[in-house]
Amino acid sequence: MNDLSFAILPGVQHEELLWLQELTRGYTAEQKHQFLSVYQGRRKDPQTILICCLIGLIGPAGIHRFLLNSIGMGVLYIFTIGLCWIGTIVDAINYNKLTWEYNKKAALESAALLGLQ
Amino acid sequence: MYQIFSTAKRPQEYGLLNVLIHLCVSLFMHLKTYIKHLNIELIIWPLALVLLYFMHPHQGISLCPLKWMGLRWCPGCGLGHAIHYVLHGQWALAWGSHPMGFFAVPVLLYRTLNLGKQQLQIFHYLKNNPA
Repeated sequence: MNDLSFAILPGVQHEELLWLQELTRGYTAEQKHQFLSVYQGRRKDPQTILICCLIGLIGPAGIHRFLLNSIGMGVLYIFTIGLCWIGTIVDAINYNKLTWEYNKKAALESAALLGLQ
Repeated sequence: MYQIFSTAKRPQEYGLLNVLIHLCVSLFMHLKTYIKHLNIELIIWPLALVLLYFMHPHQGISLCPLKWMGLRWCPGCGLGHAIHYVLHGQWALAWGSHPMGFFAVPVLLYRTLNLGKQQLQIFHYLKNNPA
């Protein structure tokens, strides 16, 4: 069991690492490898989200919300330049949690896709 | 006799103090993990809605950072007023301020409720697995 197999994910946080280790505890090495390759494709890099969020300060806002699949917030942001910057600033502070919220769902989806869980 | 009494009492007192300190420290650590896992969005959106409900349009200070920076107009201008009017049920005024007000209120409420649900799950998890 390689405990650091998830450390290759870009911008991975301690909490995410622990959570993924917990999720894949009962997996064999092969299942773990499969899970990692599927999850890697579905996961969003927190840095991408931060950059897209900061574009909202000078250009179109809410790109990160569309990337994170919250379309309602995305539409609201794009028509009001990120709720007059307030939303953009909040998301720039909160980008790690925002991305992790999406990635958690992506991890569960990947596991379900492989018929693991 | 007195000496025995005092030596018997002192460790007990010390123990009580120790327990109290330990309790305070563990409570603080608990609070710290809870605060660390609290999503600020869950504070910001309800706070904004409550503030906008009680603020009067066209008087008092503005919530908009762009206005503070001296910008005259932006695509979101009037959204705060629109949300205020929607929350007070004045549809025509809300539409006149910013048509997105009708969209903003349900989206923000939905986001808040969704986040609250997730937060409860996270706190439940923390309660069962103290880190």
